Amino acid sequence: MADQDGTGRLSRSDVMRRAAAQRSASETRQGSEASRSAAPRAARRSNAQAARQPARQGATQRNAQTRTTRTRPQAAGKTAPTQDTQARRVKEQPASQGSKRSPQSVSPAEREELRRRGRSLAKARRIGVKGTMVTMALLTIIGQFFFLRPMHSDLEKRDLTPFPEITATRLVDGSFFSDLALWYGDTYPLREPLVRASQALGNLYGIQPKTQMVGRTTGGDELPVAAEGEAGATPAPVEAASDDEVVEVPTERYMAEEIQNKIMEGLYVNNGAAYNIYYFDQESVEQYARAMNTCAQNLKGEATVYSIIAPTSAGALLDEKTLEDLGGTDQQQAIKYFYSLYDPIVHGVNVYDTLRAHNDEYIYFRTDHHWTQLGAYYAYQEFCREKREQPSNIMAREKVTFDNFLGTFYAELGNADMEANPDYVDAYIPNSTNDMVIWTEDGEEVETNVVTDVSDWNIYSKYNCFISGDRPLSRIDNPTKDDGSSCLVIKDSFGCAFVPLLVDDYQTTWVIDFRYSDRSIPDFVRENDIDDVIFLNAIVLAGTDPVSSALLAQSQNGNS
Amino acid sequence: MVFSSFMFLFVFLPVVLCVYQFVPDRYRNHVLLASSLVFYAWGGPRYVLLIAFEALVSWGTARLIEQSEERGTKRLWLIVDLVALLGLLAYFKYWGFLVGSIQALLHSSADIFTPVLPIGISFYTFQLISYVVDVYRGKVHAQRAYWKLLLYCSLFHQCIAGPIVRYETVADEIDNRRATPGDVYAGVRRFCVGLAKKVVLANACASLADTLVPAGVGTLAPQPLLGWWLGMLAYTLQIYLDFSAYSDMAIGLGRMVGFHYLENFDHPYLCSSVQDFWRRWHISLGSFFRDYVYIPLGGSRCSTAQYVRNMAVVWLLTGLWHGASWNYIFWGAYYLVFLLLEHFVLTDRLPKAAGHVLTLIVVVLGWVLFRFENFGEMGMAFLGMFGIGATGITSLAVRTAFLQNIFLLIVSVVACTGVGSWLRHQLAVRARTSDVALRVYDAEELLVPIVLLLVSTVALAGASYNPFIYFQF
Repeated sequence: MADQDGTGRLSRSDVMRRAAAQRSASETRQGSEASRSAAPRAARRSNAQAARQPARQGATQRNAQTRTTRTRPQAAGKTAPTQDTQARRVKEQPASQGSKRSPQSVSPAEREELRRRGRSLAKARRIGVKGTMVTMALLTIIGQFFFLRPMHSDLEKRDLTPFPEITATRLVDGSFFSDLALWYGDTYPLREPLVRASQALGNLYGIQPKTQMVGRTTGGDELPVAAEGEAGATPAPVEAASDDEVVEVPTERYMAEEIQNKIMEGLYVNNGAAYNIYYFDQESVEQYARAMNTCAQNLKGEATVYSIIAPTSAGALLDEKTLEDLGGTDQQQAIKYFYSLYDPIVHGVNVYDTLRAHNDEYIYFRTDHHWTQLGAYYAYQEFCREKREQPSNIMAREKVTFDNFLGTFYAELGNADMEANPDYVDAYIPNSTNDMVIWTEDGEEVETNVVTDVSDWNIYSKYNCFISGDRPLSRIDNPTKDDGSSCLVIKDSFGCAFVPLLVDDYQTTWVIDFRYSDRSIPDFVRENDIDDVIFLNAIVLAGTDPVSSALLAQSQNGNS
Repeated sequence: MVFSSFMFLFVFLPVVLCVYQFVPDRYRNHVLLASSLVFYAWGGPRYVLLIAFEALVSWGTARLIEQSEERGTKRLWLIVDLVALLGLLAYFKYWGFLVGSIQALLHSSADIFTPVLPIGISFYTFQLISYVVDVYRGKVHAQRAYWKLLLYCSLFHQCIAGPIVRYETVADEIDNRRATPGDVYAGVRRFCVGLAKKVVLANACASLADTLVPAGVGTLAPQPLLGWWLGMLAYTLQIYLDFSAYSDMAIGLGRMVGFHYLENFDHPYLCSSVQDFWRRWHISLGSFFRDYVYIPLGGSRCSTAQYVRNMAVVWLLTGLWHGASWNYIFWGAYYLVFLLLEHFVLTDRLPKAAGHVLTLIVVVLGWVLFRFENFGEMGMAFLGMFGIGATGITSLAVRTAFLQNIFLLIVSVVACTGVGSWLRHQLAVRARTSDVALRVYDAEELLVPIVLLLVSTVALAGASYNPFIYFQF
């Protein structure tokens, strides 16, 4: 029977298996079979099918009939089976029958016509294969233009994957090769336009409603807050950590990733503005409070510790009803809870109410998770009230405006409404000085400005006009003062807009971004004779585990 | 290396195809073997030794089986091979699970070394077992050349993600194969279809599922009822599109060079019963267990008790094969229950439409077991899907996720059916008589692979998009 099927090279089991497989025919196969029946060639399928039928019937007299049909010309690529088998086949595979005419009725002209169509199809497919191969080859060649490979992505605000280090261990365990593949894709020369195209492709996946809630939500813990006045419900301050306690310090990368997740979880988007919802995490908050208490205890009598927890734009701007519907934790209550865990010597500065009161002003960006300098200014006023000093008036400062800013929310969401209506950055230059010094992570000392002119920087980086962005250590000297007053701001990126506001008030303003630093804060304060230590964190960061761990570790006295 | 990466698409594959094309015929298998070893070594060079060793054992025992006259000796060599292969699989894949389970029972927490899972071990081990058993059964001849057996089990088309190609399927084609222009086109097209299925559809479904029903995060956030269902629908689509896409790409890669692997999926979500689902889902695995476990145990032609035992063995093994964790075993047991239910109670009594809907619900709920290795998460998702502990019916987040992915979901659902190939076939039929249809058909055939490759490249670049908040100079 194997030879009967006319191909001569298929064994019986092959034919049967293939026939079985063809019952589950894939897109490709069905399609190519369809074309085979379009082209006047002997189709393997019909052969296989013809072979299958006698096999299934298992009746030898049928074999004889099939054999006689076999001898007929297979002009249309079909055998002409007996009527009942044909009927069955039509019923089984109505789609594959195409033409119901028997092959005898095909005239030479028609045959020639079918052949012409077959040639046309074969040509299209040949070009299709060539086109695919050429595309692949071109993209391969482009991939070899090493000098065109990007190193950095402005939109994503990150360095792209570097070429992996070659070491014996990394070769043996395979990590070199997986990193190589990562590098090859991440720094592909056409990456930027391809990423842009992919965002356009992503927009085809669905409709972008004006009002959205996106990002993974973790739900968060129940806030154990009791409103003021409920006796006995106020939690006691958490205990400070001793210097012997070993605090596990998170890696910079892990911390950055956690912070990013925290900021991007639960984004409420409305008319081209995004608001991040805060989800309370009991353990991290306690840890954060411990860090404040530890630092204050270690500096007792030497410096004053202030803590400013900045709400997110959602907490400051959205109306009560929306906030309640969205879920998440009430930020006003959460900030109170933070402060309730503080030692009385820590000055918790409540900036929530004043921001809330100014929520019709431009105090937060719409496309970025930061506050504007105006928002930071209202916080600064509260800080001065806590310190019992007169705040300086920023309206008397020189103001520069940087138009067209698309921030982190835009980078995450690629929202078209944001693109159509970008943010702008107003920056107020201190009256006393615009000069500052920063130390990079390599320890290099660089002179720069408190407010840098970023008007020709890319659209995603405008917030970096303030104090040159996030640095391990920076220092600003006020030439108009010589009273020896000094402060240290321990900050995340919310601090960038805040620090310039302090410059006129102190002789020296120090800034540490704790994420890129591991020095002991009490030691540093003593060494530099600092008066005020101001911790400034956005609530989402303060309530994140790696942040509070890092701060706690840095709040311990150093070993030196 | 995975197929859906720039490294594979724009270095490895073009180089391999190019070399393959231009070397003399007799060196083509050498090219394939060398490239397969490079491909395999990419994930950890030392495991090349493992696959080479497993192939060596199987090659040797198969030769000895064929040469020996006595049934007892044949059997002995078969057992040697099975012990070696299954022992290595057990060690590399299940050792950690076993130790962990025993420790959980004894409340111990000693640190015990667990090996890293070598890529593809589940697939090539089963391929080699099927080969040796088939030699034992006299279904195929033992391969004389060791390197050709190694080529069979390490071939980069199917080595790391299936399908589990039987030796008999390719035995002849290892030495005698010819890729006709039709084969090359079908292969290229199939590969591009699979690639697009993976990077355009499956990855997007995965991100939707990860947003709504994240796995491995410890505790899941409470969700409204529709959130659970939308998330699990996305996961249901993802797992089929992803897995079948790998099979498509494998089949396509094989076809380009003249190998005809068997189909691995047959529109499983069109099934009308649970049994039907398993006839259509991961066919190469189902048929492996059928031919090498179920039928040798006696299949269904035996007493009821034996039949239940046979089914239990097969389904617990099927579950375990998918991963070394209890949830996979439960997943296998879950299907066992429904298959027995169908066999003994329902026995085709359901109308077809009802059978289809009920089976789909069974399948979707089954994926809950499959998705969550953590029982806390699994329980929460399970209850949530029945509305227990769910926060209402829907929410702004669910509505947003749905609207933002509505076209993706529609296209993905369509991709689970045979509508695409049906349309193409209709076009093919029309093209026999109409010139306009012929032109459209020609254009479609020409453009589809190229366009799919380009769109996939774009989507793949998008997958590397990882906006990072903290600015570094």
